[in-house]
Amino acid sequence: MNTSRQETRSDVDELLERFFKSEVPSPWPRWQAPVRVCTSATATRQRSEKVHQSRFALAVTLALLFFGSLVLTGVFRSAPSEPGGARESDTARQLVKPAHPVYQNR
Amino acid sequence: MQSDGVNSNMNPSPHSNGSSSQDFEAIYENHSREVWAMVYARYLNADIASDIMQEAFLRLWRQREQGEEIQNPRAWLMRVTRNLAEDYAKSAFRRNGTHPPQLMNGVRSKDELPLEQLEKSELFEQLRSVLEEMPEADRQILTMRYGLDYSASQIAAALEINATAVHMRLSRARQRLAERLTAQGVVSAS
Repeated sequence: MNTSRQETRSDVDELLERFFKSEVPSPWPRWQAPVRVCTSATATRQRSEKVHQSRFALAVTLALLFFGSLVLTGVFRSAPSEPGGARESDTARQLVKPAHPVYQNR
Repeated sequence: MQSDGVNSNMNPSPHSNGSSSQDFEAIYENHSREVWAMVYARYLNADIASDIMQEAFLRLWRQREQGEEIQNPRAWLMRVTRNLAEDYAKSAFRRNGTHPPQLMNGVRSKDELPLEQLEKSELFEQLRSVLEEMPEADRQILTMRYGLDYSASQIAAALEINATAVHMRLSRARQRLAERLTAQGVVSAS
């Protein structure tokens, strides 16, 4: 290996050329402009839109839940006060006290 | 800014059309090798030089996209590249990261026979170790001369010195290198 490695002093140029040429990228890389997929401003805008949408959906859901519960409780509360309406306790009393004429005659 | 002069440009996106892209490609074509050589001379690592070169040009691209007119792109690129190289020197990856394949006696895939490849690899490793001991300025001149085939006038323009100084520095660098290679037995004294 030594014999092959022994180069004359005038071969320094050749050695340097071989070395540096092997180091330089070949072919030289071409410039490729970066492709803009999504800028930060667009991403921020999209994110804020999503946040607004989800908040709106949450608000609508809560509102529906609240008014729904109000409507339901209002229906059950107003039912006994209806004219001619029978209370639950009245119905029970009617079951206990038979009003059939046969039983009344006895 | 200072010498490279970055000014805010109020013209409506002058760098977004096709001609601007061509302008940028021309800048890349004109200065990329110099940028690469500057980093390579510092680290003697082609991959790091390519990465830093790419990053520097990417920053220049972004700068232009933001509408800033750079009056002297070469000076701007050199300054940014120098800073990027400094940052790389300070980075944790460089301090704690892996060694490049050359330092690990890695064998790169080439079409040569393994023995030839081994001899060449050993020879280049010796040369690399000698180059590492040399001043960075010498390595820069040698890279431009032997790697990029730059003439003395091109090197003079790139390094902003006169051609006589280039010849002198190149001759001195070559002589120093030859002495060290001879002392190590890589080349024989004539």
